[in-house]
Amino acid sequence: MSDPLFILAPPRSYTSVVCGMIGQHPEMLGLPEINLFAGDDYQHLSRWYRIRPRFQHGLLRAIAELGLGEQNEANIEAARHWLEENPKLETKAIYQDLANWAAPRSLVDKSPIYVYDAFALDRIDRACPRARYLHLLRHPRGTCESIQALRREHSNNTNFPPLDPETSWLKPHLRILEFLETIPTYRKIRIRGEDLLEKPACYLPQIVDWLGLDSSPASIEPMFHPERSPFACNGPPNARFGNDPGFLNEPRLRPYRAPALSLEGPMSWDSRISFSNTLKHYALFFGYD
Amino acid sequence: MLNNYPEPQSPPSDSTHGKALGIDDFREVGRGCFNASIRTSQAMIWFGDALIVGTGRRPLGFLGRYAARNKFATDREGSEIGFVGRVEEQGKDGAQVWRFDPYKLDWSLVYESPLGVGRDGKERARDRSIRASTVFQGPSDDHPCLYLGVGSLERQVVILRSPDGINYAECTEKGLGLSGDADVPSLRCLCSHGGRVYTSPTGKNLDRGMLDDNLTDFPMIFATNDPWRGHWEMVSEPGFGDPTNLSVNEIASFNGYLYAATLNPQHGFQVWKTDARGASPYRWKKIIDCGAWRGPASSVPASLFAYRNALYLGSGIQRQGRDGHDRYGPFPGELIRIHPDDSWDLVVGDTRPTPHGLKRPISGLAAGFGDLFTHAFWRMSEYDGYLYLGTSDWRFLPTYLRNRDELSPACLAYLKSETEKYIKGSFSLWCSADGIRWHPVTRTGFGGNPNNYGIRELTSSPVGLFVAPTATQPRTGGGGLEIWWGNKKNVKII
Repeated sequence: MSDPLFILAPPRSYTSVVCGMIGQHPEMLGLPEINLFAGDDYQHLSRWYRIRPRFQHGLLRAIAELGLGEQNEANIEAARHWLEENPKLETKAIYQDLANWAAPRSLVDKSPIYVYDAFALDRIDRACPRARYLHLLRHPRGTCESIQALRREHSNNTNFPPLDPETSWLKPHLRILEFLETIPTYRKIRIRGEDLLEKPACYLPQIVDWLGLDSSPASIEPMFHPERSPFACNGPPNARFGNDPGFLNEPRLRPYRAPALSLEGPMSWDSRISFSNTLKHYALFFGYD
Repeated sequence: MLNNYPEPQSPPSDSTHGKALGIDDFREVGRGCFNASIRTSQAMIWFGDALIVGTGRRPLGFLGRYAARNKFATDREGSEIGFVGRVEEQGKDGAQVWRFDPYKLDWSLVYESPLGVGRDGKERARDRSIRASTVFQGPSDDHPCLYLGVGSLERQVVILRSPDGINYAECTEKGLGLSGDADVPSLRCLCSHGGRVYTSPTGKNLDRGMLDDNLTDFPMIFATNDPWRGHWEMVSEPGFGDPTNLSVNEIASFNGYLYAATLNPQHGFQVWKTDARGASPYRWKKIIDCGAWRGPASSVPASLFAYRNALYLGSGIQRQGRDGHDRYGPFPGELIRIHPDDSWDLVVGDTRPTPHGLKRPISGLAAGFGDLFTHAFWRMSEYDGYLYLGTSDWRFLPTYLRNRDELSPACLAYLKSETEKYIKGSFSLWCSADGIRWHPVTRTGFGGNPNNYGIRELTSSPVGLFVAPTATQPRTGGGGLEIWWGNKKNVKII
């Protein structure tokens, strides 16, 4: 069994489709956003659910699919009961259960909440000391514009504070960078999502090679079909989400060409906001002009 | 993971060449003979059965300011260690060329910067640094001659020719024949290839002192078949057509082709290749881009050296002092090697996907040989079948600690605590018998001089390997250039 993989990136950084692709390798299994390591135990994790009930959908769907054999309303409720009856169940134990149920396939987790929680990455490291990490990048303007569009689309509140690129893009990446400094070089890689989506035939085999997986065409070909993931569609009515809404609506891999974006100039939603010099430096180091 | 490099050990053995040099095989052979302003050598070469050491003084001042002042110099702790001297006196200490006869253990001064009137009307040395060297025979030479590129403090570069390593004369053209007001204060390197000499300008002077040591208004390659007479012609487009290439940092001849590596702070270094045939400008092909796809963290191709049918490139980052990339990081240097078919390996560095496939460090060692604070892989040389690589350290001037508001307190505290562990005078010399497996010769420098911070020149010779550490300060500041000579104890010097 291969080492588990964690995709680290802020939201709207192509994590869903990338997780879907890698998770289609016969030796891997791409999870929905289980958000497990945002807490020490289920009770700790529940604080997020009170703010955003949808945060629980991915975990419930994963338990239903892997532990109970099917994602349906009854199994979702059974999963919820199991968790609520065991509030002190450590999240690393839940993760281990998921891993055992998925075996011999190894798990791919892409939950974006991890990069906003001060302790999540350390929890992952303690729970999965052999884990590998894929630091996934997207141009800061593309990321921020996408987050802003999602906020407009899915929020009834039009008075939310303006999206700050420092908070949405720079700080998560800095947290990832600092965490990965403690990880041996063979257990981490960084890749621009734009490169991967433009040239999946070039980069997917490299990820497979890095993970030490079978790289035969028969194993690579399914990776071009993220839509075949059991989590690439809406779930049962009592856990419909658990992934990026755009990906759930259209999970197929489509021809992609990275848009020409600039680090200069104001944000489209607020002409008073532009990227700081520090943010631009880090973006430059990631290969973005 | 950090600082995971192997401990020093007994020198590795190779069945063909015997043992590599160990730290105990080195002894210091030169200090005190250079003038009081000398702190580095960027042009050390074996010629005429002797070691020729082209030296360099510290700049008079950055951004056009005149730095030397009438004051007492201080060491890092602030203790007074000596009178620096008046501005005018120190200004007269310019670049020198020394010749070391290893057979007689004799040093002799063979060239000294002439004095001239500066643009401020005061008399001072004309030359700041001997920065480039090659041996070449052109139509004006009776036999192979030594050519040295001599950087100026405020005027244009001149090229010296020596038939014997003892006598020197200035070649006809200054500033590569460009117009008199062209800012061409120095040359990055001189490279002999296919009957021509190739070079590229470096440096920007701002009337007085120095604006930048590594950038240029002319990021292109010049060539001539007769450096004595000049007739330099441009054989590449400026920046190879890419305005983000700010200088050509290294040039090398390998496998019948000419290779050039560019300094590119925006995207990372590039490597270009030509067969150097046909009319100028030559047809160049880019074979490595974006700092070997690491990005601006590998913006400077610090060293380029052919060894065992591959071309090795060591990277670094420019010290810009104000608001450059060195304010971030630290970013440890990497080592790649390029094969004749243009494929390449990551030798020392961080695993990454690239357009040319997944690159893992074939040495098994992370960037900086696992040392986060290795500023650059600065110089390479081959001696007795082994490839030697000298590094420079970043902790003596920890620019990465300034104004790092974006870092977490824990991360900043870690960088500070690791920096405080720095032993002054530390830097590394590594060796390899195959370019893959690397062994540290020293990770704590040579002799413990606290002013030294890296190996700026490595020169192989029939009598051993010569090492020139570079110092933060000239002798007046407690430092000065040292030359270390490594050879096996059983090698007899006549």
